[in-house]
Amino acid sequence: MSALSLLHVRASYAARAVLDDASASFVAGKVTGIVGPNGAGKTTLLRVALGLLPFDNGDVQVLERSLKDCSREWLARSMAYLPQESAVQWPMLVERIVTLGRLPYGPRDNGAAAVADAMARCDVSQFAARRLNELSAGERARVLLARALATQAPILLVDEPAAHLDPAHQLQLMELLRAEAARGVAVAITLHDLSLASRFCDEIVVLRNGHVAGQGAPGEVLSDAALAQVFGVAAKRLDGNVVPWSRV
Amino acid sequence: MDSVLQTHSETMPAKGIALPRADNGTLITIALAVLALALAAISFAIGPAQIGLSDLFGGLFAQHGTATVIAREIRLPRALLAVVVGGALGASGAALQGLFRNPLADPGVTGVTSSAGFGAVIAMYFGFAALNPLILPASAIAGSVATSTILYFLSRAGAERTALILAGAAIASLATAMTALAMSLAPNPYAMSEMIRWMMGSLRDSTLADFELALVPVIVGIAILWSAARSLDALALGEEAAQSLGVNVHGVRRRVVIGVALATGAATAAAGAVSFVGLVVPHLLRPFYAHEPARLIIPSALGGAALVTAADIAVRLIAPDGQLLVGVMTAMIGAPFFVWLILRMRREAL
Repeated sequence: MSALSLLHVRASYAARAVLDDASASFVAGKVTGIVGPNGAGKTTLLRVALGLLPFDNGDVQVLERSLKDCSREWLARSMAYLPQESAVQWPMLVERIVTLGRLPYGPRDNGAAAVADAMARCDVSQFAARRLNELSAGERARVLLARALATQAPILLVDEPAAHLDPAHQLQLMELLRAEAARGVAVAITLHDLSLASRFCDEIVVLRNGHVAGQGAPGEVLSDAALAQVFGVAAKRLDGNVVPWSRV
Repeated sequence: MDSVLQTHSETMPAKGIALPRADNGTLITIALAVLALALAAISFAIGPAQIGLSDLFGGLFAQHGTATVIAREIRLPRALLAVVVGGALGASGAALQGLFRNPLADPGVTGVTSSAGFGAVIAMYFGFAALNPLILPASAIAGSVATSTILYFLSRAGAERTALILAGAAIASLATAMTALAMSLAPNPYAMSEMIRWMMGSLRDSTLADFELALVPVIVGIAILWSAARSLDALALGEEAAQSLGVNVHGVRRRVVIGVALATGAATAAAGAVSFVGLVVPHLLRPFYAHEPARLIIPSALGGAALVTAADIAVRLIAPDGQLLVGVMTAMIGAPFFVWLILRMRREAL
């Protein structure tokens, strides 16, 4: 069952279409990667799905409800979002930041168990009493992911989780996202790194100039022809995973 | 698949969950309230008239006599107004810093206070205030609403925090220049001599009517800011993350703009443009409240009340002839603090 679907969506910034007739679906229990060159509309797709950017045509279905009929609070409980912008203005304590993930449940929420669970899963429990600015980039990324997981939403949208991280932390974060999918969460992530996408994603949505060029298993949609046409690269294959190798 | 997660998870039970150390926020808040009250009592006790404390406090409850006039009409309004003005500026600064995610934001630095002063001067010196006593605070609030709204739209359009501060500085300069122009054109012969009071802020010659007019809008303004406080923590994550958590960011912005305009506008109508209180106080208190913007509104109001009252005591001790204005004192503390803060932010950014 599709937890989140975009159906023929058109969205624009200042009259310029940034998504056009875009359809994609994100299934519970799977990691779906959204790939495409710079400016293809990856982040826009997430913003539209979250209701942060209004769309002109089409529909977005969240857990089989039209996004336009959903309250802000319901959407916040249904979809957790980890934006690429990871700066936190004030040096707040890690536990407080993770607790912000419970905000959609209102001031009477007793989500201490959810917060502790999210911190444990992201291996940041030991930082609970530390300030975010005292942590390394990799640790900060895990804290912010824990904040998203604390919401316990059935859908998780993550924008470029691997950006600015070293390879070990990239792998750790991707494994955390796979673990979420294994728990039944529909995980959607935008990625620039085609190697990570082909290795960790169950499905790939390929975007090009605001259009969905294809959706399917990595082996299908990241074909040599598609890589050349969409990304302008030729790739080598390592255990079936894509490694961009040369420009074409 | 080799699992880094599994590797870490194996060590988890031994590490356990390190809970944040409890901070002393509640105690500090109570201490600030006590400090503000104590300073208000000292402020009440200080003045050029040689009058005993027992006579002075007795004068508060007597019907007539010199002590009654001094206590009720001079000392009490000044002490109470200092608390109200400081409270308004402290809470406004905390809310603006939380909203704009900027430790440099303050009603003075962003031009909100100067604009309120301009609004008050227009009402006062062109005769509108004489029509109805509410027109003076209403005009000051209108001035601060105008500037807050400009800042709101700049912020909404994605202006960087430095751009917001620069825009605020430009608005402050313009409002000060327009105040000077309005006063030089005013038909009131005393206008020029009072200009400095409006531009720098003073609690001298405050009346109970000034206090009463300021009290309600300031309380309502602080209450509105407090109602928006919970969302300010989420805004620390960025606007989109906050929105995805169900925060109505536009609603929060509106509430902060209205709350700041009411509180700062009413405070400025009563005491002129007292600067830097909203910059200094939240910054000093932030570490005691785990740097959480949501928890800073009320403590900053209490801290602001204490700071303005202390500054008003200081100006009377330093210059008993009344030549030193409270706004000069807060600027002497605040301006170097502002520069230090910029240098520190620059160091942290490197």
